Amino acid sequence: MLAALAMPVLLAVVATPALVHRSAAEASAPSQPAPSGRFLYMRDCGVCHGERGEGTPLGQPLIHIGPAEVDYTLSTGRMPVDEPGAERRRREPRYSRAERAAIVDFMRPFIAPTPDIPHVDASAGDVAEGAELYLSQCAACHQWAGEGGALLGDIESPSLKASTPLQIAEAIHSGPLDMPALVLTDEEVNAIAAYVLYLREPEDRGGAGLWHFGPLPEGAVAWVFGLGALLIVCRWIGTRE
Amino acid sequence: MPHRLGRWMDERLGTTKFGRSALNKVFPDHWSFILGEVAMYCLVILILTGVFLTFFFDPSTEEVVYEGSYEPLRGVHMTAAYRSVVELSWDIRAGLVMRQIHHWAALLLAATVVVHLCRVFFTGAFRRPREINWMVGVTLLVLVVGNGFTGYSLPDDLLSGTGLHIAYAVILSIPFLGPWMAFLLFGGEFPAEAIISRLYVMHILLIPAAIIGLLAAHLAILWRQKHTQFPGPRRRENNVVGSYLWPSYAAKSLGLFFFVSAVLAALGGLAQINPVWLYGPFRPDIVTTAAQPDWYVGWLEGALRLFPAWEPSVFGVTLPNAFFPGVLVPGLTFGLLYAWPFLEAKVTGDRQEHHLLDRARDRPVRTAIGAAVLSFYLVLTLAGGQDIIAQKLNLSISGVVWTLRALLVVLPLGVALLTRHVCQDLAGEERLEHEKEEARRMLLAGDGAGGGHNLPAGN
Repeated sequence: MLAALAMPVLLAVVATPALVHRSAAEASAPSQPAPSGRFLYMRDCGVCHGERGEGTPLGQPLIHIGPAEVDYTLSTGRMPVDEPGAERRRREPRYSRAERAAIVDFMRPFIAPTPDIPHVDASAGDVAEGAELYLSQCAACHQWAGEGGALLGDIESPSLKASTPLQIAEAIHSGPLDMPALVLTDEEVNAIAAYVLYLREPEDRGGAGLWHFGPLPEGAVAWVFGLGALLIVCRWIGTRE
Repeated sequence: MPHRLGRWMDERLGTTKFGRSALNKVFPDHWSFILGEVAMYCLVILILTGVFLTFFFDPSTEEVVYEGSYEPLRGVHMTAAYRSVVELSWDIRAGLVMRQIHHWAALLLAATVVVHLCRVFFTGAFRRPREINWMVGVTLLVLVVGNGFTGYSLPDDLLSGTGLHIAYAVILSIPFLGPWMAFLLFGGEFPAEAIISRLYVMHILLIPAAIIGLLAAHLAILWRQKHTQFPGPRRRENNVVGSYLWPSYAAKSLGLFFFVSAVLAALGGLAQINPVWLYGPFRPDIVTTAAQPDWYVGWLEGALRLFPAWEPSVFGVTLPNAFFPGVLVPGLTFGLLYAWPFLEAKVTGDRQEHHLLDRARDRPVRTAIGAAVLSFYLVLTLAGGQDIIAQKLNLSISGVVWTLRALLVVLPLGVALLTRHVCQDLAGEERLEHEKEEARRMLLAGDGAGGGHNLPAGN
């Protein structure tokens, strides 16, 4: 099934917006031994969150969150931030996979045991089941095409175009930031991950996808290109003798 | 043979006399006069593609399971209406391009009607004796918007169902009558099973019949009253200067039809519109962000989004919040449009017949009002996608809402003042040019034939 998903029929004539792939940062430097989790935690996290995650005036306590949320926050680059109180948005991650694992292992004794880092296999997920689940559980905030959206209360729901299956599963289980945690089976999480991966490059028919933002850009295209062309035609035909 | 057939027809219907005068009908030449014609050709394309779509669309809310070729929906429960639209898009030859041309044509029909209305407004073509045709035209705009909305609602996808849900709430908000009207229209509480088939009858029969009937009246009145023209050499209130219907105007018009078809086909083939398979089937318990209606309803959506949470009580009756942006705004919009020719005549006291058009710059107040009103609706339309604007510009949604609320008041005022200023400047510049020309002519006349050496330098 993944093979079919990996070869989307690209009918688009006008290029769709480039998708941002950040998986390159996952690669770690193999030659150096990974620094210890304790070293990394004390250097980058402990100043604000406390030596054993108890929290300080600069950073919230971490003792209630589980390994899944720690891994999600680190792998999406939302932490560490350069200064306390900075906006937690998706960035290039600071750590390699091994470093993340080392930090999580160091934190395990003082954070909550669950939700633990889940096992996810998007290729085992059923895309159709994922579509139904995605539209009923995720689209209200992340939009029908996974573009994310601005929500009331000035909450920004992030785009899912760069999300890896593991990050999707971790977010579903732990409910990071403003997102609620969802109670879903592994099979359902696999299905959602499969559909979110599909949405990166959906099997687009009918030409340029117009940024997958629906009627607003369609109206703009109608006015600028459609009406623009028609006005030029009117002007040309209307002034011919 | 054609000659004999013509005589046979003439003996029975008297067609020759009508035909001769029709072919010799004169149409004034100005490119902006064919905007209405573009709208008419969009309508022709809509009817042609729409007939094709009716062969495959199933206006039923019966629950079915999709088994077609679009993998991510296979096995999903949906209504027969939604399934038939997905099948049209994925399994029926040329189905998707027909759907897309139909939808683009709808967006452009509404756009060209609005631009045509602007042309008529800014040139004063609605003045006596053409008030009736103005009102017919405004009715056509209402019907075009209405038929666009019914068509947009038919596929029963997530966005269209959300739109219908909002429409249902807006109808409910009408004091006293609302609940009865909503039940009458929907045939029960939302989401009523009857609504898709009722919308279908409205979309393919009732409203198109009304549009075609009123369009015929629009053209017949135009024919009877003759076309307006811009002032110019030999152009007077009591003549029409232009080209004959046959052959020159007919040839141009046919060419225009082909161009309109080409533009719509290009859009339908190159740019995706309304990808309902990605929206998913409608379920009343599901919503999605970035949900908006088509642009011609966007201003109503924007009004709903900008209107403050305000529910006043009048004589013990609470007016629901949605009543003001959802019912009052369109009511006032179209009410004022209908009334404009009479309002203007009352204010200016001008009740003369006019067959020569105004230029926008020569009527600075009317032009300023028109431009201000357009900017008002532009802000409302943008507000219909306020969440997308907030997201794309990385702003907070409440900041965008408050900015748009402020713009809604400030922008029309600024645009009105600026437009009036520009109009007066342009008209003043022309007067100056005219006076210079006069002065030059007088100098020439005063100096005699040989005294051209001290003419003022022209610029």
